[in-house]
Amino acid sequence: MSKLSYAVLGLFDTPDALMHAIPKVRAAKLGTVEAYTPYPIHGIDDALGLRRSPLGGMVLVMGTLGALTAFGFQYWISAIDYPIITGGKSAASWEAFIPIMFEVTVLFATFTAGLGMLLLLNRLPFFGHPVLSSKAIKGITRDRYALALEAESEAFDSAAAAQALQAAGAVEVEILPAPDRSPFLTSDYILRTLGGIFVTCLVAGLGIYTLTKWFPLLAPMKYMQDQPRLNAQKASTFFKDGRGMQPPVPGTVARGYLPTATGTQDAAATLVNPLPRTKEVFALGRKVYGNRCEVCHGALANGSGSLTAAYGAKPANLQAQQFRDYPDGKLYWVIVNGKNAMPSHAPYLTETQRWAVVHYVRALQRAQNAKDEDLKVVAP
Amino acid sequence: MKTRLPDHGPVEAPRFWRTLEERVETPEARQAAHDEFLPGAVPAYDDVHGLPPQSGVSRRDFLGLVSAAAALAATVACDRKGQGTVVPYTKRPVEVIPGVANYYASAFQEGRRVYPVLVKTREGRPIHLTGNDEHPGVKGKTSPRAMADVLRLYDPDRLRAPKLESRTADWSTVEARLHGALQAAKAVGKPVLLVSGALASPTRKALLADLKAALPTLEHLAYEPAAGDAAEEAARASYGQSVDIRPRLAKAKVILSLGADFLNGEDPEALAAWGAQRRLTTAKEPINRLWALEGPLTLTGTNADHRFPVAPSRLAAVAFALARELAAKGRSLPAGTDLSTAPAGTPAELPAQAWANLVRDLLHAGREAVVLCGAQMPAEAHQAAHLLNALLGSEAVALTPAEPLATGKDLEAAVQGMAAGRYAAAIFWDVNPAFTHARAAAWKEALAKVPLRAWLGLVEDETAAQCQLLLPENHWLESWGDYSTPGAAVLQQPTVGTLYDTRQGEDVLLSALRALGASPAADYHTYLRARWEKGVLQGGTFEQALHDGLVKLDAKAAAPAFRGASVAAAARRAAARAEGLELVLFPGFAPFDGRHANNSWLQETPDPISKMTWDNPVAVSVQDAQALGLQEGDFVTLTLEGATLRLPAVIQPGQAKGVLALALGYGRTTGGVAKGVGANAYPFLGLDPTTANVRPGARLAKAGGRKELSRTQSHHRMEGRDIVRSLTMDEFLHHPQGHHHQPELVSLYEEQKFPDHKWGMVIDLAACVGCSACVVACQSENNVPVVGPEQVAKGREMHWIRIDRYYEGELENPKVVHQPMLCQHCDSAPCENVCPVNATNHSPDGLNQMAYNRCVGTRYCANNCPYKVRRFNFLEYTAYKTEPETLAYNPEVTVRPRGVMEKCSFCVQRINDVKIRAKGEGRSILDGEVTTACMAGCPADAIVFGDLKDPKSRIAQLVTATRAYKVLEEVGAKPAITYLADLKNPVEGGHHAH
Amino acid sequence: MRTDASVHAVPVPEGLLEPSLTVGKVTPGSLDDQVLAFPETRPPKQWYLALAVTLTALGIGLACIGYTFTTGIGAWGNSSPVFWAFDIINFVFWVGIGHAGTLISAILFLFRKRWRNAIARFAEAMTIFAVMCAVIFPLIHVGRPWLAYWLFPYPNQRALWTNFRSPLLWDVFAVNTYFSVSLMFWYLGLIPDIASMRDRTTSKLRKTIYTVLALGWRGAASHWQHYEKAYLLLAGLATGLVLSVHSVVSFDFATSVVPGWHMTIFPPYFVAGAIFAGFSMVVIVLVVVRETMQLKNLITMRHLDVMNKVILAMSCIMGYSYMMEGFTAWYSMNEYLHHGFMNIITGTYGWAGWITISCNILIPQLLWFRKARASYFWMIFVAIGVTIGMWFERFVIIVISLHQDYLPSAWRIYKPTMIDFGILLGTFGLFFTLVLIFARVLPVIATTEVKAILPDAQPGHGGGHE
Repeated sequence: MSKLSYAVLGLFDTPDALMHAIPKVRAAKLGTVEAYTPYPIHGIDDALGLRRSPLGGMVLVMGTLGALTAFGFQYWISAIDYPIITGGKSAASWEAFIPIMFEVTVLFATFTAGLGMLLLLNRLPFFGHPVLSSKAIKGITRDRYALALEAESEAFDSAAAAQALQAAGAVEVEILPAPDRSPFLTSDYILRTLGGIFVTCLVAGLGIYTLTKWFPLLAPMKYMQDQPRLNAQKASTFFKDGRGMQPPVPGTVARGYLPTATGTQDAAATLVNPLPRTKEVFALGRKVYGNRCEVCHGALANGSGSLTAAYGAKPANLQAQQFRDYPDGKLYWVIVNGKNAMPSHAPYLTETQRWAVVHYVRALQRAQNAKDEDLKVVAP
Repeated sequence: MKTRLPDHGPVEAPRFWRTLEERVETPEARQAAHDEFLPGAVPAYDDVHGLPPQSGVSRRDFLGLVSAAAALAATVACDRKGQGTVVPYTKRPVEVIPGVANYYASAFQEGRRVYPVLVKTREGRPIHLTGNDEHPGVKGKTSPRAMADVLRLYDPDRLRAPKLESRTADWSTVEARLHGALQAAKAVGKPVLLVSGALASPTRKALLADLKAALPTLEHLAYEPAAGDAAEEAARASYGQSVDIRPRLAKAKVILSLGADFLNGEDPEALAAWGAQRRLTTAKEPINRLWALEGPLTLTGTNADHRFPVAPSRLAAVAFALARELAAKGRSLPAGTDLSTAPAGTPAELPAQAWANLVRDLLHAGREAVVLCGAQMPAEAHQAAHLLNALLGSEAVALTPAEPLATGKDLEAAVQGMAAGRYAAAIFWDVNPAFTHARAAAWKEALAKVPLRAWLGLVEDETAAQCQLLLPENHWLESWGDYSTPGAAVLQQPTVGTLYDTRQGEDVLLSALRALGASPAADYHTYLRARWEKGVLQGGTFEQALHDGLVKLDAKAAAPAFRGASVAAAARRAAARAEGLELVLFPGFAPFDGRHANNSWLQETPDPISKMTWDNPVAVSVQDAQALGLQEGDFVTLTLEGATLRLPAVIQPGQAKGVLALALGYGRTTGGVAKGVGANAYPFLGLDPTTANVRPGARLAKAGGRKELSRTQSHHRMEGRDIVRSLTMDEFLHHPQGHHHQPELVSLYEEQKFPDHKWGMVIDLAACVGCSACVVACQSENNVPVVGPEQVAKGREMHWIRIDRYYEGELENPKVVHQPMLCQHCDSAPCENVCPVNATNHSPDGLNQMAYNRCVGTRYCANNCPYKVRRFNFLEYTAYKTEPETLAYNPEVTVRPRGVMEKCSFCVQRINDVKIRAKGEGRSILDGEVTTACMAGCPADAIVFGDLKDPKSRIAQLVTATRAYKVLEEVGAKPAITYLADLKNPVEGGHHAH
Repeated sequence: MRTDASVHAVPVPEGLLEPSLTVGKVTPGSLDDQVLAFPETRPPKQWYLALAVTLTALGIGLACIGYTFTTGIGAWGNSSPVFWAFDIINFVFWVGIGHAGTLISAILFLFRKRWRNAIARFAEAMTIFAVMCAVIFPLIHVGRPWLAYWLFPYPNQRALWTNFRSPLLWDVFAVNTYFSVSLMFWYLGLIPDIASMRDRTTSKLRKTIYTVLALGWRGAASHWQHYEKAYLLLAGLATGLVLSVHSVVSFDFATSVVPGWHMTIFPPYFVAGAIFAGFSMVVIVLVVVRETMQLKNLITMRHLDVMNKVILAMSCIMGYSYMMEGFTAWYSMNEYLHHGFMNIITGTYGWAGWITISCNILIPQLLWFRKARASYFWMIFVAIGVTIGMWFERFVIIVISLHQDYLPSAWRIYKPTMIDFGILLGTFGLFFTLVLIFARVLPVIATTEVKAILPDAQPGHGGGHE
């Protein structure tokens, strides 16, 4: 034959004929001997001298791996990554991991057996094998038994092979040409496949995108992020002012918020500062003064704070005689109720803080207007 | 040195200088003073010191830019879902800190009862109620209906603006119309009828007096359909005036109840006293004894040590016989008492032995014994009770003169008056006679003859349908007011501004006063304040009174004297025997007289005895049911004097033979919730006040068909299981643990460690009477959804805490036990093991916690819960609710949508609130500081919550008590809730109660 | 290694030989012409009719599922305390049906039971379809089905994981493994058959499809060697799996504390029940197939006879299990367990208990008679009885145990709704729709395996017997 050929197929009608032919054909030593049958023929692997299948070992290894993976996965999750106590069992208790370990073992083992056989050992899928495009294949997958002498080198003599097979009792001989491009690997096929894959991906992508965008927000699906309850700071369509937070009714008294200095400023003159003049109180007073009063009234309570000029405000100069003559109560009244441009500080200052500030203001006034006899006070 | 200055002088002077340079103001010095701030520390422009602008970005600008960038980033990063606008206070009120609850003392009136309450508000909006802890009587407890009334504030059915001739109008026109009518009436001297509820408020009384002065023809009726006319009649007969009779159980050793249901939760004071006497730690402590003679089975009956079914019509006979017995045994009768006509000897209802014991108990207890009579019982029974108390000189009952109530007679007179066209106008204020009057048809017909009919109320009702003027009223949580209670004058203050265009009734009357020429205070707030500052406050300020909610008074009103002469007639009537079935009409547990019928929380709260929700089937005794061949839920026709009703029947164990019991207040024809729920029993009410609520001669017949009862419990026996333990005092003394052996529970796993806290609960079944206050408290605190009758019938109610009620012994007069059942927060919780997504798991402080948003709803946990306390949102019960309904939700608790499992959380939000506060104050949590809603709501103090790891805590003491046991301990779930066995004190096997 | 039929490579004394598994003269060629012809011919009218019926049922089921999805589980009869009902009953029922396939194809393969070859393919297909019906329920029975995927341990944005102590999670793994393994097993068996179809078909479309599915199988001896090894290993693994899967399903109940669930006998008892139900379903389908597709010569009365014997055996195991339940209830002296058992035979749902007992224990005893095993009527009667009985057994286990457990206060009666029945109907629709389609597009008999055991199929004295 001129054309380079891949193999020669000899067809037999019965398994017995095939089995008898194998030794003869092997003896000819013309090339690799392979049989093609519609179903497994027993003893043929020995006749062809095939190696034992390594599948068992592979499955054992992968199965064990599966078991270990399952255990590691469960243990890491339950005991290390996010330990949660359920049913009083310690996060590291392993007893409950066994069922899943078993399942995963089987899963790994099965896929090794199945896919390992197909992909690794049998090198499938492979659509380009010459036998597939032979005339004989129709019979091979039906009820004929084929013996093939396959080329091992360029020097393969198909004629001799054909003869050997006929000698071995082949009823029919077919010479297979060297594999040309399989019909499944033609460029147009590949292009069509790729095109198909691309379109599928596109459609799927769009589908998934739209699904994730609007589907989860449809009616029955709740995620509890929008609660029907009215939280603090939330707007409300119910109240006329659109606010969820409503002011208390004027004149009402909440527990622990007994109003103080409710009367006029003069009425408040009678109030006495309940706090002692201690270091702590002054410290507190200074802190509060620094936080709330100093910006306007100034570090020295002289009415020249850092904001005064900037905003052209005219805060009271507490060093003025008028304020130095104020009783504590009247100062306190101003802190609670505010005066002129000064807002009420009641919401931000506790009772103690308010009175402490009063003390501190007194201290500032005295500091700026120290008399000689004051020195005696501090003299040891 | 000192400088004289003008006040508010220019800020330049006096200049306090730091250096001489600065003093003389050399430019260098100025520059130095300015450069004290590094470049960039001050704005680029500097018009303060008039210096040339600096180059570069100032620190402030820089910070501004940075924060702006951060803010922008934050907004961009925001999740698309669940974003909302933030609306802060522009001027924050002193007392409100967003996210922190406020508490306001106020008060709630129901009938003659006044409940001083503490209102929990969030951002100026009430969300939860408890009793006022300052009040000497209620001590921080209140009634289920009072707690549930916060929902009525947010009732979407509320009338939102005045109506004139069923067309929305503004106040001025409506009031003009009213005032015109009143002025006209005054001019021609025609009577004006004003019907309102009981007068418990002194200031309101004063206001009415002013009105009467301005309008002499005013006729006022204080109408309480559920108060029981008989009680009023009897009081007038026995004492010559209306009297408010309250038990003082703290002083009672022996209590005889003649159909009195004083443990039904309406009277927190009584429950507290009862609990105090029953919460025994050792069998040595004294305990009271309760004898109950009653027709229907009441909560009081179920908690009695001895209970005998007695038809209400026979109570008087029994009581008078008892009086004769006592008199014979040497007790001196009050002057002028003639018992000759009274029945004598052992009554048929009681075994001779029991009778002898009862007599002996009462004799021994003497002044420490008390006889109480149910408001609905016939007048003669009341009089007999009055006599017995007088006879025993009982100190365990407080008699205080009360404002008279209108009885059926007065109403009848009013009907005739209206029919005769006597009245120029009629004003109905918070009353609904068109529904509650026995002969509603006649009433409506007569009312139609009144030229001007005005209605003041919350939700348009049957009466409103009859009136031209509808004046929407404030809910009491929006109103001012005051009440007199024993021991204290109580103030009521609004806790939220009016939600709608409504006014409080008193303000309407004030404007009427003004129209009638008087010149009263501008509004009721000032009126009230003025009256208090004049009369009530002793030295203290009004603010202080508002803060506490009350001013304590020890006003000793002279107890009215018993009139012996009144007995003879009553005794004669008591001897008469009624024939046929007798129908007992009592206010429904949920709707009371019908005013709460639109409150879905109450409608779904199971009746403590029948466990019915959303319905009032007629209760039939076991014997009668057998005679009639009745099954649970069979439809029957109930006929009495022409009135007929088709309604389902339930068989009520323990109900006296020949007695039918039916709840009032159902069968409303208005209100989104109330409409069509149950059957209206008012037509059966008698016009004769002495027997208004007990009607002989009722007829019952099968009507065919059966109703699927919306009942939360369908199996009523314990099947001999060790679930509720009940001990007599003897058993308590000798073998408190009974014959129950504690199973030895071994585990494969080591115990869970609880580092700092281990929360637990103790429930004392001896103190628990089953009043269901805890159920309502929990519903309000934890946003527990309402599912409606059909769902309840399917078994899908959502209550986190339920009260199991079991019957034991023969059904004619069974022993009854109650057991609050809620999540037991088991250490080895079966529910936690089986959740595939870890949605329910255990917290380090011993809570069995639910992560709602992790729950996918496999319901496996609920299957595996031995206590069946897990609740599943089978349908969407909450998410589609809108304001105002949603305003009642507690913002601290997640609202659960459908498909999510939920259950008691031990009020984890309250625990964390306390934790946070304690941490802020740098201290550890105090014992009793954390209270669950059910604990806070329990008037009998049967529930104790606390930290089991704190050896000094109250709970740590209690779990070691001899009565302590755990339900289903053998399952091995290690529940965190310990129950203390129920206690009974019968004569045999009990203590001598004296 | 020695594969199934290879045991017969050694001569077997005549007396011990099994009778032939086929009737009449069957050659590999005739086999192909008979079996592989179906996909190439147009289906008969009856087939379309049947398909219409099953599709309607499926449609109803889907509608009911849609309704449930939008309204919530409240659309079903489930309530407290019966939180599980039809949903889990159907799940267990269908998983059980599935087991027959794996059993026949795997366990009988290991036991060298050659009669399996003719029916294995169909049984395996039914396994896959049944499991498909079963997996619907775990997905739709959850309260928030759109979050059902949370049952899988995947790293989500809140770093939350699943709870590996929950039997439900074991289920997720077991059922998924079971499905994928069955699919693999089935497909491997199909490859050579598809190859035959590829090579005989004339239509271009079919050729393309079969070519791709056959992965270029060419029947090389070296391939057969690995193939048989793989098949043997798969059989071994699937055997362990099939036993484990229903054990795990039974753990859902056995590991709980519900009286009537918490029993050590459950795993074996569930597996037996599964095989029992599965075989009955296979018998029903086989009879129909045998008649309608003229496969009398391949699926012989002997096959059915053996199947019926297995059913009979399983029925006895079930009877024993029921008795053990009663015995445990009595012997344990556990009042809750005792109440639970009395509830099954005397309670409100006693009728269900008795249906279970009579359908699963009494009726199958008919199969002691050769006549019954040889009569279509009786074997179908028994098989349908068993199918019903096994469904009710799950009803008994789930509903009766739940509706009265520990606290009497929580006891309540359960009533299913129309939606429940609709969904059950829908799963039957799905199952039979898939069966019908399968019967038309793929070889219903594993021709390759049957060829291997035909007379003269093997060299020397191998193969069948004349």
